Amino acid sequence: MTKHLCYLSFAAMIFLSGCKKEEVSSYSPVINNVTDNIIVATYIDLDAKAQLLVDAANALKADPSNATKLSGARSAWAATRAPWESSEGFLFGPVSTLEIDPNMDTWPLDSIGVDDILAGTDIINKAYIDALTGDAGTGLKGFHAIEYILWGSDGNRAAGTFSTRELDYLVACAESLKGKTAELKNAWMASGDNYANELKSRGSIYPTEKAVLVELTEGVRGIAGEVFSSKIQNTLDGLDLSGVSGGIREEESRFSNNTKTDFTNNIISIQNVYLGTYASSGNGNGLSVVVAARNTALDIKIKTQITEAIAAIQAIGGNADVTFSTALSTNRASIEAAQLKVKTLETTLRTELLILIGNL
Amino acid sequence: MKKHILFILAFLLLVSCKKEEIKNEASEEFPGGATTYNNIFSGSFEQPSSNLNTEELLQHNTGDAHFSANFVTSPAIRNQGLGPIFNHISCVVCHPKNGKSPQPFSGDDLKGLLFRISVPGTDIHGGPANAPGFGTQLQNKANVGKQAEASVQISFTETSYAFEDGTNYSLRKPSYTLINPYIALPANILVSPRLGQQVIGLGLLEAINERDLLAHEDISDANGDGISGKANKVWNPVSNKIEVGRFGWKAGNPTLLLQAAGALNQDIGVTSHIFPSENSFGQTQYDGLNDEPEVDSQQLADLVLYTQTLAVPKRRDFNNSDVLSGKQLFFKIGCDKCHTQKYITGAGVTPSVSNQTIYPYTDLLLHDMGPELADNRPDFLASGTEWRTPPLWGIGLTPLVNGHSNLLHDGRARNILEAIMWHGGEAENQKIKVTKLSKKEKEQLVRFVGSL
Repeated sequence: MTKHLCYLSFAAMIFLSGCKKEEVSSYSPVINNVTDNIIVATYIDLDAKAQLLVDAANALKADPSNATKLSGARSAWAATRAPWESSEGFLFGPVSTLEIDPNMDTWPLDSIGVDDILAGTDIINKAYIDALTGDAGTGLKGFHAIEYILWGSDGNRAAGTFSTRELDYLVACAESLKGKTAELKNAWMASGDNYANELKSRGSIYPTEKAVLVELTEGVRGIAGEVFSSKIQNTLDGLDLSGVSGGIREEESRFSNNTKTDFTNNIISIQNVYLGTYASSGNGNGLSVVVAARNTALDIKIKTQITEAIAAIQAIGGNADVTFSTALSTNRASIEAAQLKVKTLETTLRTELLILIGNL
Repeated sequence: MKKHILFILAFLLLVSCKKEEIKNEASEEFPGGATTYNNIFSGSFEQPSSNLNTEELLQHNTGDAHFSANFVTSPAIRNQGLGPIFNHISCVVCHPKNGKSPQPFSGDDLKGLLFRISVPGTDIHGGPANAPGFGTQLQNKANVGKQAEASVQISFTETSYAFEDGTNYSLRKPSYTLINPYIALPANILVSPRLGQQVIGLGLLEAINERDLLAHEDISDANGDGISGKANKVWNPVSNKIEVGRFGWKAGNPTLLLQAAGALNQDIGVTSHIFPSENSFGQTQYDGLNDEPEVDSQQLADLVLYTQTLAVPKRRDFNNSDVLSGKQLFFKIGCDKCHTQKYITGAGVTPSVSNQTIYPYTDLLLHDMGPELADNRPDFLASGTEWRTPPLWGIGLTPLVNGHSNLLHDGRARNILEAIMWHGGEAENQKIKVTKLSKKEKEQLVRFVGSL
């Protein structure tokens, strides 16, 4: 039997050797560019902005009645938030496995817990905030704790109204956040734990280049899904295990009215990975390159849908000045319209892009 | 061209003239049957089963939100009911990305590890007896103004061993000490560490017909193969009967409804109509709020359905020659005697899990794993040295999903090979056979298990 198999396969191979297998070019230009010039670059930017936020928080603490210092701290918060929200298109790897995300961006904020700490006598410093780990602690720190101090729950705190403990809390949370952004950057960089290398070279985590492209695609698909089906949807119907409608309470950056910017940056995150550009860096080798080589119509469709989703989010409320919170009461239709654009994008990413990448 | 043909010919002759190949059935590539999710990435454990209809998907997504919700102290507008004593505020801490929690190193951050406790004896149903003042689970966290039941200290002892091929391996055994109890601990308290398990494919496991599960029992080892699997039979407070358990490290839960409701109550402090009494009832930490149940039955049903409708990821490289060699070793050594490869499920709660050909690699039965792994805390029919065979599907994706490769009931094994080397008791013979494998064979075996 074995002898026959030998002859049979010999014959088959002679036949088959006439048909040349399709050459598969390497996707390393895309993988390297997205890894280094999008992902790592975003984390470097995030860490730099987090330092500026620490500086601005300290400046406010030193001069708490100064309205300029307050507005400086608020701007620094928003400037740090931007690269963070722009990283949500690739929420895999160390940001997730090292639990960095919950220590930076847990929502909802446990504002009652924060108020309890402020009313108490615990010494508040970076070490104290750092120790608020795991679940019971993460709701007390991060972006939204800082936002809560700087703006108050009604968004209208004035300079000169901060207690010493609140300022201590502000600085400590900013320092703790900066610790996390440094950890995240270090986890990816070659000078640190070099998670970037897992994407750029073949090992046990991503044994094939295709596996990396699948991860990147699922990442952009995931944030699109989260924005329309969770972040926006929660505000529209107020998901609440106690049966009480949340609405505006679900809006993630409502203290600062940064929600529209947050969602815009989430879609920009998709855009960065897709187009292979980030601010002024990136060489254009993004998922688009892989798609355009196989299906130019799909490539154009995705680009268009990304642009339209961003525009629709910006148009929530009718114009750029109207906040998300206001639009929830006065122009719900504009929120639903934006949600639909994001949902459409997610559908395309899931049903067309993912299939294309899956078939590589 | 000639040179190429010659090379190809030589290679092909070599390949086709080797010994009989191990084959796969095509369905083995899809361990979850029609629920299988085909893309492998860090979120592969968080996908809805691929065969859900629109309503099921909607309910799945609703349940998903409950699974990742952060509970807070009552009263609150949203997700209230946390504590007064608890282990974590959300399901996802113990089940990160629906995968496995890493092992903790310090009692300050136990990660997804919690401790079942009891005292010798049984309760009226034959289950673990309450540790007076503490219950059957230790809650190491508390709401502001309340005292946690106790904290934990962890220490490790590492021992080196040698394989027959001369290479070494080492096993690191954790030991746990309860400290700072809020009242004196019972002198004879029994403590069992339990790490959060992955949440994939559970609906499929629930849909395995009981008769198929019991068919693998051999309590007296009648066939003399050294393996004596035993079903755990546990109390179901919903049906008020003793039933076959299949979920949890010692198969303590018969259904996913009880698993979820129990976890909400014991791990988070959230009451439901299944377990309407706070875990702190009768203790000084009890809040006396009378706000039970803290989640309603629809919310609980949505949460349970979520856990029943999570996809199992596709196999990786299942036809790779090393993987196939490893598969041959797996069966030859007899790993499949407990890690039963395949079932066809019966009728489940949702059509998506019904009549599916699945490859979970577990018999869901209890086995004596030897003294080194023992928790010495009986649980219904499970003795102090017995553990339920965990499913192996998805095991190779833990590094990608969770960034570590800790295995076993408290994460003590740092990789698949260590997990195998911890096997003792009924599996002692299988472990010994693995120690005799060549380096390459060990790699193939591990590669096969990692491909599941």
